[in-house]
Order: sequence, then C-alpha cells, then structure tokens
Amino acid sequence: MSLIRDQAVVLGRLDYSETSQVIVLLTREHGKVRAIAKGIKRGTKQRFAAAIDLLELGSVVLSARQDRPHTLANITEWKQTRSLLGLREKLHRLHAGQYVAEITAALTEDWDPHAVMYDALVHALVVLGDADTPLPAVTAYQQKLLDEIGSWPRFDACVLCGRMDELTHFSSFEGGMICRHCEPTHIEKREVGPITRAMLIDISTTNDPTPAFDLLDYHISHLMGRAPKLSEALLTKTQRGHVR
Amino acid sequence: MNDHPIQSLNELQTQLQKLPGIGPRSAERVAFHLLRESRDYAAQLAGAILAIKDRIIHCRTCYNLTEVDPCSICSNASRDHGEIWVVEQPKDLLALEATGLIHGVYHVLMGHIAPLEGVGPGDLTIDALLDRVRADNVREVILALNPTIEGDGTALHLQSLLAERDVRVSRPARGLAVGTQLEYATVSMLESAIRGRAPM
Ligand SMILES: [Zn+2]
Ligand SMILES: [Zn+2]
Repeated sequence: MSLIRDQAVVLGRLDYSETSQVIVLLTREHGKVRAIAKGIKRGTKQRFAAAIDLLELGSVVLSARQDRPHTLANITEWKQTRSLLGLREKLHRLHAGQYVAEITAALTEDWDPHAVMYDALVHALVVLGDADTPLPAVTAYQQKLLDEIGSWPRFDACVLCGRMDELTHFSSFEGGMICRHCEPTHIEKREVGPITRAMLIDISTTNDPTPAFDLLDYHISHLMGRAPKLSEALLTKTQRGHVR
Repeated sequence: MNDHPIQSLNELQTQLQKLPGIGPRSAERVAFHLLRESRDYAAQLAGAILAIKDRIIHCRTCYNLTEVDPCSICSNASRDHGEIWVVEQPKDLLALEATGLIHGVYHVLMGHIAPLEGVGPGDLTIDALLDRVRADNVREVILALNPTIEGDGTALHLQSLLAERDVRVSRPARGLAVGTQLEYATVSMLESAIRGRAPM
C-alpha cells in the first residue's frame, strides 16, 4: 500500500454499500482511479466534510496498490479545492459537465496519467460554469482528449491515399477524412462539408462549433462503442448529422 | 459461508444476509437468536414483514408511502394544498415532516434525473406533479431536492417546466450546516452561504 496525494476531478460515483460509494476520479498525476469512499453517505467520518459530488474538484489522499491496478483504491482524505457552483445554475452547463466527465471516464485507462488532459478538463469545467452556450468549451475539450489518447483524426488529407482535395467523408475507423475516390469502398463513414472540416483544422477560430462537436461526438461514439448518454441533451435531432 | 448441516437455518441466514448492513456473522447471530425466541415472536416478526408488503402502497396523489389512499397528508383539509414541497424519496418527506414546520403538501418524485445512469424525466412522477399544479390552484412549488449534481439538474428541469405555469417556484436555502464549524465547511458550502447571505 502506498499513499498518494493528488488533485482530482470526480467523473462518476456509484453506491457500493449502505455507507460507501465507489468514486471514479481523474487525478492529475496518476490518471483515472477508482476508489472507495467509506462512510460517505452517512457522513459519519469527519474527514469527509460532506459527500463527494459528481464534477467536484479537490485534493485527494488515496491508499492504493498500483502494482495491482484492478483493486480499488481507498480515499482516506478529500478536500474540495474549488467550487463550481456556476455549473449548477443552468441545465445546459450541467449536461455539458456530465458529458465531458462521461467521455473522459470512458476513454481513459486506470493509472494512465494525462496531466494535459486533466488541466484541460478543469479548464473546461471552469469555463462551463460561466458559459451561455456550452459547445465551444465542450468541443475544445473533445479535441484535447482525443489528442491526448492519440485518437485525433486527420482532417487535412485523405487517410487512405493522401490526396488533399475532394475530401467528402469522414471515417472513424480509418481515423480521418477519406476522399471521393476512396469513399465508395467504405461502409463506416459520414459525409462532411467544407465548413465542418475547416472548423476541425482550426477549432480556435470557431464561434458556433455545432458541426465540429457533432462530428467529434460521432468519432467518440465509435471509440466508446456506444453514444455518450449526454449527446442527445447537447444536440437537437435536426443539428445531428447535418452536412455543412 | 453458511455451512450448517441444517438446511432451514442456512436458508434463513442466506435471506438475512441480503439485508443492508448484515454480513455472514450478524446473520448467524440473528438466526440463532430467533431460534431461541418463542414461536409467537417469530410469527409476529414474519407477520410484520408481510404486513408492510401487503398494506403499504403509494398515495396516488403525492406518491408518499401510505396504507390509505389518498394519504393522511393529502386528505387533511387543514393543510395548505396550494403549496407543494417536491422531494426525491419518501424518506426525504419524513425528514421534512418531522420538522413540524411544513403546512403544505408534498410530491415525491421517486428519484432524480440521472442521465449518466440512464434515468430520465419519464422515470419519475413529474407528469403527475404537473397535473396537480394545473388542477389544484397551486401557488408555490418548493423544490426540496438533494443539492447534488443530479438533484440540482432535476430541479432545473422542473423549473423550466413550471416556468410556463402561473406558480411561484422556490428551493430551500443552502450553505452552512447549522451546528457545524465554519472552518470545516467545503468551498461550495461557503460560496453558497456567502452568495445567499440573509439580513438579520
Ligand atoms: Zn483517398
Ligand atoms: Zn398523498
């Protein structure tokens, strides 16, 4: 057993017994960790001033056996470090916060650190806490996450033949754009317009990233093996798959 | 785990172990305790367990647990039916009712919206709440949900639905817990308390 001190964001939690919960954390230096918080629901233990909530930011002390990554760690201390009350003021902020937590939990491995991703997640949550529209922060985070796990697709050329024009489709399986000539032999693909592709080449210049979010969500769904549960809350049916 | 050669004793221990907080050792202790008790007591215990299953239903108005429908709160004419306190679970209703401060009536949602767990608005008693607000001349709806991400999300969803109705929507104050020390409060508690400070 070793004691680990780190910063963490709560990605998920589920009841483990009457009095304890399993908390899924993204820690800054140690990656995703699943840990038991005992006595948390009754609030019996002083060291947890309150139950640990989803999307909370805090400093954590864990006792864990990293040599046995499949065993649960124990949370021995949790101190909330930053309040994100703004997230709770608007439903779209809460949905966006849960979306970024969901895709992070689904696409990261236990004990595989990604400090850049951690910082990006905290930044996304802070920005969302004050956001009128959630998609810019969410799309920026999708990009960081995919980049960090090595799954950022190629948008500047056909991933199959390398040509840089007539790029009409996107294939999640192939990991990027495919051209008009390569496209017919592929089943898993999605039509992508020039506006969307331009957005994905330079996300920072985009005001309304809806089509970029939609395409990255499509890619993320393939990587996760299912659609994120919060996708629907962030995108209306008419926005989804609309070619631009 | 239960390795007694006596099958009926094994069976009782297996059933007891399904109860919250009861492990193999406690199950064994309870089983042997019951074995020593009189047959009358065993019958009373079994009867009491069956009675809660047979008699307790959900009030069709507020979804509180009750033996009569409507429940004693909903059928009480001296309560203020224009004021509905919305809670997640019957246990929350009991906690509020124990204060003796609530003169209105309740509505139990039977949970909260939890998108990550696949619980949507349709899984709760939200439609019934909206029907009540429409039919019963309700003046105020107080969203007394847990101040968690899911509870707050559910409250925001209800707020958007109720915004179209001529009804006041409020929620209980949040912030510092009475009887505790400020230095142990979390950042969220402090921020809530600071923002929601009240004149005195
Ligand atoms: Zn090609
Ligand atoms: Zn009732």
